[in-house]
Amino acid sequence: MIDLLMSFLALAIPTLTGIVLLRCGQRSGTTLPYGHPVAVTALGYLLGTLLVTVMMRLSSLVGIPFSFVGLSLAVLAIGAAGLALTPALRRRAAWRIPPSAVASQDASQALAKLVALLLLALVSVRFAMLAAEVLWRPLYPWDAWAQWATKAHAWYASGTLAPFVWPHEWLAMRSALVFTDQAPHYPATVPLLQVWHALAIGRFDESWINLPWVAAGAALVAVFHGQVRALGLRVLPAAVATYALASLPFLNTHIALAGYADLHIGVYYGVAAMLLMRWVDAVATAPAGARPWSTWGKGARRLLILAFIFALALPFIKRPGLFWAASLFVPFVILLLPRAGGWILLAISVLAVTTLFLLSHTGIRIFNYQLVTDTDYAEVAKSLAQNFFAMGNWHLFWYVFVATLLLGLKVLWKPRNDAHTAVVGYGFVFLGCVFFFSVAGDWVSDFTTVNRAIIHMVPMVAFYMVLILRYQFPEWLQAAPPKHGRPAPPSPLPTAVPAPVRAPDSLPVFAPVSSPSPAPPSR
Amino acid sequence: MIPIPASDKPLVDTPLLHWHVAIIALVGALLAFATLLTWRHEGSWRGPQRIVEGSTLQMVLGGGAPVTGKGFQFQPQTGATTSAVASTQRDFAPIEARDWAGVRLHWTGGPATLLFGWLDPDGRQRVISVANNESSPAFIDLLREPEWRGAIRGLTFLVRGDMAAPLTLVRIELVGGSAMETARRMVAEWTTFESWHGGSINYVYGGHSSLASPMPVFAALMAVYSMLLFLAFTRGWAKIGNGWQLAALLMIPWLLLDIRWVTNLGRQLETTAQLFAGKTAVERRRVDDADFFSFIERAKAQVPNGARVYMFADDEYHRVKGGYLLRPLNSLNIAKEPSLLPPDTFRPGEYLVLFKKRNVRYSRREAMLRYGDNAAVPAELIDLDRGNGLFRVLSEEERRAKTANVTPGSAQP
Repeated sequence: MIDLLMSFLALAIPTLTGIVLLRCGQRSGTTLPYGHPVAVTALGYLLGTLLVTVMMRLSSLVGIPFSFVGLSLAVLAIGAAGLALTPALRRRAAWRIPPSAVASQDASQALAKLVALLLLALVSVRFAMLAAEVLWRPLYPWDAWAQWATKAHAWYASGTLAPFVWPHEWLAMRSALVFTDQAPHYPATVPLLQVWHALAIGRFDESWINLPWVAAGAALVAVFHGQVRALGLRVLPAAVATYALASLPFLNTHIALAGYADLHIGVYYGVAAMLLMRWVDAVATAPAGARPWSTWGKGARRLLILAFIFALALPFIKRPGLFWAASLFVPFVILLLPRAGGWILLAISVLAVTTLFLLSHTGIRIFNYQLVTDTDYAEVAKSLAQNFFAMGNWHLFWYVFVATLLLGLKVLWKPRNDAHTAVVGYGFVFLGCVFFFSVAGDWVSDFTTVNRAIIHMVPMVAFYMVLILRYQFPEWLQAAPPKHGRPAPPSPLPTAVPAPVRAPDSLPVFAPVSSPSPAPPSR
Repeated sequence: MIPIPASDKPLVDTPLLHWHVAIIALVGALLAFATLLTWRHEGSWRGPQRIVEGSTLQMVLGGGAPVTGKGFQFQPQTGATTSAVASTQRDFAPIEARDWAGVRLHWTGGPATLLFGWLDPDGRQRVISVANNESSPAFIDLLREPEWRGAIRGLTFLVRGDMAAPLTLVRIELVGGSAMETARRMVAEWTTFESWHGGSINYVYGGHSSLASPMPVFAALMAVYSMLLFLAFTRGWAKIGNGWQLAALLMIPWLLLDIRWVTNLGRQLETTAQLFAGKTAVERRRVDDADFFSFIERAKAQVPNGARVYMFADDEYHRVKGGYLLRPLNSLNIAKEPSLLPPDTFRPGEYLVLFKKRNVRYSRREAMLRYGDNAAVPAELIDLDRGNGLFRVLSEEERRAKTANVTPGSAQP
């Protein structure tokens, strides 16, 4: 019971601080663009957890041994500072869940609501099953104990971020405080999450330390649901999309068999991309003449800032995170150069692919991936097709993705979709280069690398599909326009209350929910 | 953008009802299944059948003989566990494995452990056991057997156990791959339990690993067929009255896949609960590999904090897992290197943990650990448990002091 309580605190403390930081600077009477309160809580958890790992790094840097109480106080102190800077949050009313956030926009559709609730209940049941699996089974999959928890255990026991080196370096030195394992170059964030939970319960328990995997998975689903609702989707399509994401077997497996960093990369990258895409949407719906950066004003800038905080964390979770973080700069090319941006990106992609193809003949290594020329392209393609379309990794996700692209072929490069398409395109070009031009081609052929690489992109691709389908089928997916004689339903994510004023420093972050189709671009 | 005029009214004169959509989904499912079956099934749709009478078999081992009109009778061995084998004659005409989906064994008498075997194209004998609780006739699904392939050159029937009465093999019935059999097999593959494994998490099969007729392909075909049917009934894309009906035709196959997956998760959770629920952390670890874990825990308890430890084992799993289980000690293991490192690698005061390590000898008299081509490390045996050992590396002075007053003896980890 005490373990349960302490683990709850280990989740709650960063979450609380994260929520305060998200709302830092919020003015009285305004609401923020993060979505439903559940999504805000999930974002708070993700932000607060990152903060905990930063505090652990700092603690190690200044030589203070890790302690749950010390780190908790430090994290809470930051939360308190945020609270001090935000007078509005000190009022009790600021913490009440606004009725508009829980009320359905299409309350008349009782059946739709019921089905949506059922789907979300099924998601909850699934997460309960995954949590039980995590809490009963000690660390199980290979890399979890061979490469990740080896660090966590050493750091928990030593109370500091003791250095890890390659085995040959370890053999050359004699220090008792320098450790080694199979992957000493792996970033520290994920093991630090395990250390944090171990500190909370006072021992290195191979089950309880894995709670961050359940929490991250649940946070992803909650944020996703919040963001699709924030796009103006009705209750049912939002629930269907959320259920679809939560049901993906490979994602479930990476939660149940906790210990890998791939889930965390997928979560943080996915959430960062969702926030960025929503910011891009806000930019695209800005009034004529407004520059993209003008929406850095109230409301929308919070999405952008949070997206880049999460993006910044990616290389510290797993090394490919650097490339994923870089992808989030791609939309700016489109936004800043609306006419030529797409062509420039296409040219860069062709150039990059050609260069890598030519470089592959040299056999050089890029980020430890040796470029090779002997890749069996047919074999790699077959393996990709098997993993995406035949095996049970992703249900019908990739079929729906292909269908979405085909249905939306004409609109993928329409303004505001073009920036989203560019980010997704970047991901496929990046992975394509890795799979076809590097030694990773062999790992694709034997199925070892395919899904663990693509899982990083999946949440983002899911959100992208929602964006394209919303563009295609606004009548079916978006909330119905308000009827005459009734007050307009409150948007779940207004930038400000009362109604937004279209001024350069206070742009509406979201397309009006009554809009039957996306507004034309105005760049 | 697909033009769908904004209107509250259905765009077709008589919009499809929800039960119409359910029927469309069902028809789509049947069509998808039929498509997959046609693609998967080889040979005739009814499938052949071939009977090998027990009385035509010949004795290979143990006591027994063919009895005309009854079958092959295995006699119990008095005072010993019966172990008998009967096979087809040498003139058995080879059969193609792919033509035969299963075998049905008919016998009387027993009980005993029964096994069925065959001679593969390379002349190797393959044997699989019939489930213990099976009663005659027992069906063996041969297409699940990876070694059931190529030209089969003979069949074998084996009997083991403490038999009280004779056991008679009446006949071996080879069941051809009828379409129904293939269909049953497809469903069986989809519902095959896929348990967790301790390797890297790289993929989920989604059923049987053969991927002969994957369920996601069925689900995708079902979605496509039902949507095409739906569009045919609504007379075109632009006349769909309720977009959710179309969406449902995609969601139903997705749900089917998810029901399979969640059922699999549930079965896994049941197993996990049986293995681990209500146990302490130490007890949970022992579930996996009790001897290994206990030895590593014992070794860990005898190594002082701050000491450097090397983990060696012939098997990569034990080597890497041992290195992890030794934490928080400062341990080293090299995943791809099964050999002990050269003697000059080790320094006095360091510890060596050897688990299931062959070709290593320890001499107490010399206080010397010997391995490989005359490699030797001065070491003290700290613990020895069923051939697994914990050693502390000694300096030459320490070794001399240890060996000055030691009785002869040696240990072999």
